[in-house]
Amino acid sequence: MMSQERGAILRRRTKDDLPDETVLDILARLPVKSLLRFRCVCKPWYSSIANPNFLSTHVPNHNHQCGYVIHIPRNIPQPSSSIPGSSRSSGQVCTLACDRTYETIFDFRFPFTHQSGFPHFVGSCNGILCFSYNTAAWSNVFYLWNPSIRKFKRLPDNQLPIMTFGIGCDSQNNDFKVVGIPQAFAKTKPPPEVGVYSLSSDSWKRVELGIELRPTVCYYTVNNSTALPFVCGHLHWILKIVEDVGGHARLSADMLLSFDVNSEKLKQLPLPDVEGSCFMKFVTSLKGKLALIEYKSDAQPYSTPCSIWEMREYGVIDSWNKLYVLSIENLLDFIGFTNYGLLLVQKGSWLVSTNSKLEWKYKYLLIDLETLHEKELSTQVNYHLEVATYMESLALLDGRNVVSY
Amino acid sequence: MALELKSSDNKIFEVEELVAVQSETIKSLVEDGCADNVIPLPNVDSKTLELVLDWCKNHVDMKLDEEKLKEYEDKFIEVDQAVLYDLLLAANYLNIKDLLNRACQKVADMLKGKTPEQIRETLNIVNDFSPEEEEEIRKENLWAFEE
Repeated sequence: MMSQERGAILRRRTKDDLPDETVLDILARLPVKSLLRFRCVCKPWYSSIANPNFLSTHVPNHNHQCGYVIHIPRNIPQPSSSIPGSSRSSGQVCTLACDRTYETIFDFRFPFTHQSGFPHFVGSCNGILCFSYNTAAWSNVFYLWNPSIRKFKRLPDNQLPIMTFGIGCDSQNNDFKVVGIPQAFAKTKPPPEVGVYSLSSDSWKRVELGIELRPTVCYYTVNNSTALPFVCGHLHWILKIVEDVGGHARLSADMLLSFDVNSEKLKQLPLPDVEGSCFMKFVTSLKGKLALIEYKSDAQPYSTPCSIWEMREYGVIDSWNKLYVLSIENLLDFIGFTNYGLLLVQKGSWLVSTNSKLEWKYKYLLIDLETLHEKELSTQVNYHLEVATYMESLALLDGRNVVSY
Repeated sequence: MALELKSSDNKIFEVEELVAVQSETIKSLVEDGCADNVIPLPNVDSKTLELVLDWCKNHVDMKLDEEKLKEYEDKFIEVDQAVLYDLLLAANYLNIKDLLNRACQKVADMLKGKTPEQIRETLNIVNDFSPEEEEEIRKENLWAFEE
């Protein structure tokens, strides 16, 4: 047959075309860059690639040995910073690094800026990164960003009070939601509300908190500067509880809240039995499970005892399992766990610099909890880091008010 | 127990039931009791059927040896595009999940770096965009075409 002479062309048999589901199966394995190119192959491909159902099946199979992590500079200026008001927003850079070795793969710049300067990392979910900027009027401006297809979107403004926000995805409806609960609340009339943004409706709404609140109690979200953990379809917050007992404020046991991103309902989850409320708590995710780090920040100078727990079965009362107990020296902050279960922390210490001055230096370390081996990350710049999981995704493709760059 | 399969070009293949039921299509025929006579497979030619049956047989034989199986699969899928296309169609028709999976992955790897024109040629797809429409789409994601 003639067509067999030309190596690049498959036999043309019009009645034996590949069935649609097979074509979609093949497309779902392609990297996003190829898919963006192939949108112009034909009209059916153009719409299939942007179809939300296709988006959820898309799993590019790269032969890479590692997952990725994005280092995102945090917005807290360093104490030794000299120039007040220096705008650093134009220099904001995300570093994509291999999450096994933390070697840098490449840097990419934030495609958006805001006059108030530093972006706050809200969280990441299925390839979307969410950032917020505090505006002068104490409200937040939010951006959703998909670096793998070079698109971002500024969310419509909201009139919400000061809140602690997180991002999650509603896998049942192929939707992304940004959720905030008030930083301080009590049993009031009207009752406190949760703010929810949904990408599919491109709008904010308020829903009732929906959990039983005790009278004479104030609830405060723990001010973690890292992203809220999104685990098993739920976002999580730790609440500190201050009770009014005979005119005196007394710290009561902490509370763990979980928000079901699909049903938009809040509920309380059990916490493991604790030594006492003087232990601080940091809730995060560890290899897909909800994890809790309890620590005592002023037990000894420069050494912080910690316990690390994992919720083996999500939502099950007795499934909190204590995994590790250790002490960390010079600990400043927990950042989170990598996909391989290494704990990323920030430490600080005074060092004598080259010109014999005493300088405060931050450093970031990966701690292997099995061996207690610590590896220092070679970050070039002396400021804070965040960690997210980079994933190729088609989310935001063809969205409303999405900007390409 | 042995089954008889007939390819589109009328060649008969005798094959062990255990091997043949790797195909979900054949498996349901057997379960429904329709496999007593020769099973006609009008969508698969003998050359392709022979390859497919080789895949099925090796998957039964090497089931417990993961490494050896992987080596076999890697070698098996190194075929030219025309054969790969036929294997893909056969795996889909006969519903052999692991072969379909492997063949789809191989095609995806092949298509990855191609231009839209090459894709159309390879898969025999008609371009139903006007030149202006196509230019618009390219502009939307220029970087994907440049690097």
